[in-house]
Amino acid sequence: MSLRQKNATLRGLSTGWWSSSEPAPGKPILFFIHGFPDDAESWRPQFELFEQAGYPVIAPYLRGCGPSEPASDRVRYSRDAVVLDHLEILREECRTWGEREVVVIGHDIGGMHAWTLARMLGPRLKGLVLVNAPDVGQLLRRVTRPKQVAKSSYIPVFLVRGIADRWFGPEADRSVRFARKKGGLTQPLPLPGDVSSLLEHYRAAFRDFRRVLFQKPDLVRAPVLAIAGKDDAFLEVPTQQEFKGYADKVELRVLEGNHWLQIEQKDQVHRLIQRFVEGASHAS
Amino acid sequence: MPLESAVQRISSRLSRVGRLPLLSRVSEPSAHAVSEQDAQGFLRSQKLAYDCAVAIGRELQPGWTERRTADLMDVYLRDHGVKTFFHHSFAWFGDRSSFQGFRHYWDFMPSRSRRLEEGQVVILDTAPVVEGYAGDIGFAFAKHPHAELARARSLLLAMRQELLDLFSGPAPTKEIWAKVDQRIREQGFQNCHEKYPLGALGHRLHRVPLPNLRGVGIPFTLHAYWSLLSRGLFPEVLGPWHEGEKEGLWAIEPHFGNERFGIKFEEILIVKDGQAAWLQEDPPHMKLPEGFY
Repeated sequence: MSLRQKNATLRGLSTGWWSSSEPAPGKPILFFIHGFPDDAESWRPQFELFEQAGYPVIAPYLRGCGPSEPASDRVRYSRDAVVLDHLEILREECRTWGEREVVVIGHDIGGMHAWTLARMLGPRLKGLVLVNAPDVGQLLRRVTRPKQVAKSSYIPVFLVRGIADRWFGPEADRSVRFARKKGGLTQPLPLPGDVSSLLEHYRAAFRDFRRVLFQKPDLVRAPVLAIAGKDDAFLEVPTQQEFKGYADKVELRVLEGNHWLQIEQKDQVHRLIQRFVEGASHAS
Repeated sequence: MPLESAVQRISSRLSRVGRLPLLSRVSEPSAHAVSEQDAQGFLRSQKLAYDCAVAIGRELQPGWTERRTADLMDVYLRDHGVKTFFHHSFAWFGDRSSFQGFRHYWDFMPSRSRRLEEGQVVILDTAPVVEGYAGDIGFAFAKHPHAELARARSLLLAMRQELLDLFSGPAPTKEIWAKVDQRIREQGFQNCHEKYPLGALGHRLHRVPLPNLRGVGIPFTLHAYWSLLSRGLFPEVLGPWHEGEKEGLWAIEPHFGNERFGIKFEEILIVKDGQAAWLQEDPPHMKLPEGFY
């Protein structure tokens, strides 16, 4: 196995990510973006398997988490700032790997960053995979679904500075365990430590709500695979209709399971992503 | 001439605003005399602006809209500590880079519907304020070899040297404007900078007061309006009728093109004791970065 954790100062801030050191030629980059309250380790069960199969993988730590230092200026948590960080990581890796196509894969709030990155890659985008991960606009439009409103009742608390920061700060372990238990995670997953800075991603997305609600999102023209858990404690199962205006070609898969499908249904998710990636590669 | 006298009257009245008792305290002295410290301040601002244009230009992909591109430039600058702007970022693609069909002020705004297509020429233009120093740059490029653009760039770079000679010579500013216009037309291009407000071939740049105040205004901020209006506006903008000193600091932006594309650069020119020099020796349009054409 040739995965290594890298650190670099990108756009003025220390940023960390996992990447392959010896990818096979010709395979697309798989770019895994984690959610809350996790770090890049939450994708390890998947990116290790793909790395062993020769895929170049990248799994960044989101701004404010692990080796990706928190930013004092909250603008650095906006989707636009994060996508510039991710493009910079891709550029760093492509210096060694050469230019390659990219499949972007996101979980939870990593999904909103995955949508943003997918829209920026142009013809380089081979596909977008979302695991328990609606786009921000899709989630906001679920305000008419009472069950989703109930499941998202934690979000307003996250938006208020000072409350959730205590729960997910230096003594985050208990809160993280609670959230994971509620989300149906039974498999071991390393605790990420202080993830209070990740709350800024929610706050930044909320500050951007005008653009989200009133501007048409850019259509993603590459294939999209959306994987949802039938019993997701935080998200209602998406409908095909929800993707209208977001993507041209969407494959929706609903699995038995809760919120951490990439770990709890590891093999099934792996097969789905692998088939999707191979299908997207062959279609190019 | 009635128009000239009207311009002089308006200019004179506007410049009195900056001399009002309280307001004069927030207005930095004119940049007509540029100290070494000021020059370095403006240089920092220019370099950051060019870094931004190159960084975003490098990531630019077919399918991006002008609006998205300009927004990402603003994000890049904010991520680097910029709190306010002289003007927010612009991005123009294809025939919009030569302002084809532009009639109104808002036509210049980056378009939400114009998407970059393969092979198109791009102009990125941004003007951050860094530690109070306003910068203003323009950078034109294509992401693939573009023979017409290359020919236009040769003319543009020759013009860069000619501008030094003109500003160092005896010709008044409106004559400089006319000579540049003539040069452009002789080469078979359209003069695009004449479509800017007041036909600006260039404009003054100054230190701005209250640089930590977040910039309000689109695309020019209140900082910019104050900067220009409080000094009479018309002497600050080098248009076809300009009358005034050449000494001091200018942002010079020759811009020309045809029906398919436009090209420009925008750099700071300092005229001191009758001698003109570009502030920056190595802007990206002098030696294009890898991947830019």
